[in-house]
Amino acid sequence: MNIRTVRFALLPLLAALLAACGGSGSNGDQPVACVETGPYACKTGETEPLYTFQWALNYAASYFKDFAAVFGGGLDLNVEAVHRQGIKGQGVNVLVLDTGTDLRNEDLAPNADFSMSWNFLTETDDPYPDLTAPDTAPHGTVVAGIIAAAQNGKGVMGIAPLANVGGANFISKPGKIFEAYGGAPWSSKADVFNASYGADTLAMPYESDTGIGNTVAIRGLKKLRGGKGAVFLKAAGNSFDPGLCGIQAAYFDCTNPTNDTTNLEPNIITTAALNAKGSASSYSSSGSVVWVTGMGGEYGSQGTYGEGAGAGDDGPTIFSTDLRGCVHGYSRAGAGTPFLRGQTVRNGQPDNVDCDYTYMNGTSAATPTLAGVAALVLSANPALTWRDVRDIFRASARKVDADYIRHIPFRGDKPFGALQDLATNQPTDRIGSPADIRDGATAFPMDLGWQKNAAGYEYSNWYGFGVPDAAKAVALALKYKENPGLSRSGDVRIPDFQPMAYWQLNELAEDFDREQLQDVTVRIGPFPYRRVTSLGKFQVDAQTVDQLQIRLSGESVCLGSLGIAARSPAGTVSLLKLPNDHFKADGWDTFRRYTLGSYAFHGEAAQGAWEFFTIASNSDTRITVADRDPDGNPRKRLSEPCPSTNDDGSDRNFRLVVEARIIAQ
Amino acid sequence: MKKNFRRYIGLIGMSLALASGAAFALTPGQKLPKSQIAQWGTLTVYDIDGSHIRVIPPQYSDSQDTLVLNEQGVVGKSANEIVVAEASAGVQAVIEQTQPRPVSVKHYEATGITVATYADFAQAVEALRALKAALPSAKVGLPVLFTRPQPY
Repeated sequence: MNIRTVRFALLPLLAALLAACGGSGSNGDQPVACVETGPYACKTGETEPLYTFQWALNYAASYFKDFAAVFGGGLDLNVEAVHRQGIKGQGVNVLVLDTGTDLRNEDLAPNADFSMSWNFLTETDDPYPDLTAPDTAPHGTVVAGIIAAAQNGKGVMGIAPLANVGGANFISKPGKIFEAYGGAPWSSKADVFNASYGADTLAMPYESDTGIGNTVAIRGLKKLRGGKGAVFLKAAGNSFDPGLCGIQAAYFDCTNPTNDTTNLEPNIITTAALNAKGSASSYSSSGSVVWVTGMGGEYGSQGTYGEGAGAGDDGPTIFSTDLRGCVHGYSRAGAGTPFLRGQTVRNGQPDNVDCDYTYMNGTSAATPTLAGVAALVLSANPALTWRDVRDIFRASARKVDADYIRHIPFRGDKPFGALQDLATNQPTDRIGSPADIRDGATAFPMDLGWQKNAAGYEYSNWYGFGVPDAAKAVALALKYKENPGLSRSGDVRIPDFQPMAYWQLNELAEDFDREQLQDVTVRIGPFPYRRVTSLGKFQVDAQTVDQLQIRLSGESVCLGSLGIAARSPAGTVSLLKLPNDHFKADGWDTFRRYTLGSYAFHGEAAQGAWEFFTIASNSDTRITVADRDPDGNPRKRLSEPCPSTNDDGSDRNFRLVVEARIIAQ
Repeated sequence: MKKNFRRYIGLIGMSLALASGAAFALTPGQKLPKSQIAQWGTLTVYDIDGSHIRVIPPQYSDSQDTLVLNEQGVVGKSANEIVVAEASAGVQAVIEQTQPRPVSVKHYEATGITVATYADFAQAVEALRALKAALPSAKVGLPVLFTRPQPY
């Protein structure tokens, strides 16, 4: 047992004592019963020279507060109160699965654990990245620093600056998922996994024989930590931009986090990104599988430290560690701002002369902010299960940007929550509401904003349950320690999918096995584009909702013109997929077991009749989209056709099968 | 100007490669046009759980892995592996005794997952059917990587 382990064992008890005494002292005052020892004991990140740029850790005192165009009205993760208690991630192992990590950076080395690391390319325990992909090589080093950069008077402050950190270049070898996701001795040590990556552009089958790899690997994570399960944080994606959805303003996420089937698993904490103005980062993917929101910032492309306003959607990002030196990394000679070029001087001292530090945006940056919070929570109470940490994140989350559906996007002229006309595929002036999701409607709300469900939880497709408050989360962790009965050690219940709707153009054939269609709503006729149509009712027995899932299989159905909504027996409405998304760009019209999920109903009583709807837009219009040609050059092109009729004007033959299930708590 | 020229050269290169049957890089997640797929002629097709998986000629793979296409023409990669989870003890023995025999079997104790590797894709498909029958309460699959994760 080493000294750090002793401190860790005492930590929860002492923290509880501190909490009972009404606090742990102010910054700069050494608390009487500090659980941490050493020169940085119970000190906040003010000891670190770049801390002033870390608005996610201390918003009020940030360097950026003097730049009103890009800063103001936001918030931080409230970690300082936790750090002042001396809770800094001690005893918690965090594994960064990414492009690789430079664990020898001066700010990572003190916490680096090579026995929790792997390089899939060299088959060694040094996860230094492959430099042949210079645009992505630094990514994992930035992620690791956000979580666990050491408090050592150098560089930046990790959110869990005493956590152990390991890395693996899993993105270079994604086929090694069973090793990376806890199967290998090095990965099985991890308490917290950070996955700032994904693939959200295809409609892949879920729970099929060929799509089983992700599902099995993720469910296997529940066996780690002696059966308490590892905590796995996953980035939602950066697809809230026009591009494949057109070249005008972005009114909604062009893809959908659920397209990455890993985000359908309840033991994945899917994380969106917030900027320094307290709104969703302009690129942050939204969707009904987002659980919570971390700090991702904007682009930081202007100014000295990324404080410039730019063209209208810019602002500061997240500061962290980088690949060492000014040759490789995001900070290097020729980079976009003076800080990234290692040229900045403050108080007469150069502050990045070796280019060992940088900044980065993305849900990639937001996810490790919450992986750091997860490490603080587990440090306070190592007995928590994966479900406990997920519950604590939800319970500690703060509602942000309350009125966002009334805001107007950059380059747009209608609000985010406006109705979109299903014939013209254009937004209108009127803000929509859940009541607009009804059979026969010809417009749909592009976002419903924050909604309180029947369990009393407020949920938004942009923010999930909101932004966790680290101090509150740690207080809850300690409460669970005092009262272990609060803990949920059992798994969620995942039943098989049940068929609920079958649609096709022509009457069922004589030899069709009609027994298959018991309790299934059958609809015969042309596919109902340009309107909202009820898929029918889905009866559910008594249980408590964890997640709703709807699985779609279709032939000659324009997936890019198809949206899906659901209404629970309690009346809560969720938009699981919007029409006019990126599938329209490629005219995608065949899909099997393509699955959507929603946490909007989390905690509700499931019993009763659920109603599901298609929201089908005009598939006959083609739009101009922006993407890249096979050589990687930007281009504009027309979306591929996906007509509703045949060349002779007759209705197009099609088939749609809808299945659903409630994953129960 | 340079970009257009490069693209022109690139297209020529692709045409030559297709004409000569020479290999060029295919990566999971790529969606291939029907015209390109047609150049390969008739491909071996497997029905796996209702999905029609076509096998791309082996010269296009840079490893022992098998490249395949799904119905949408998206490239996938299989390591010719069968994964088994939620199985009772003794699963390794069942796999090793079931025809076709695997080249190797690896058990991940910490996560309860077993992975068997087969000589080729055809054997993996055959083993999938055999192991589903032999292990009816387990989750058995033939993972195909159709997407490649990107850093966000």
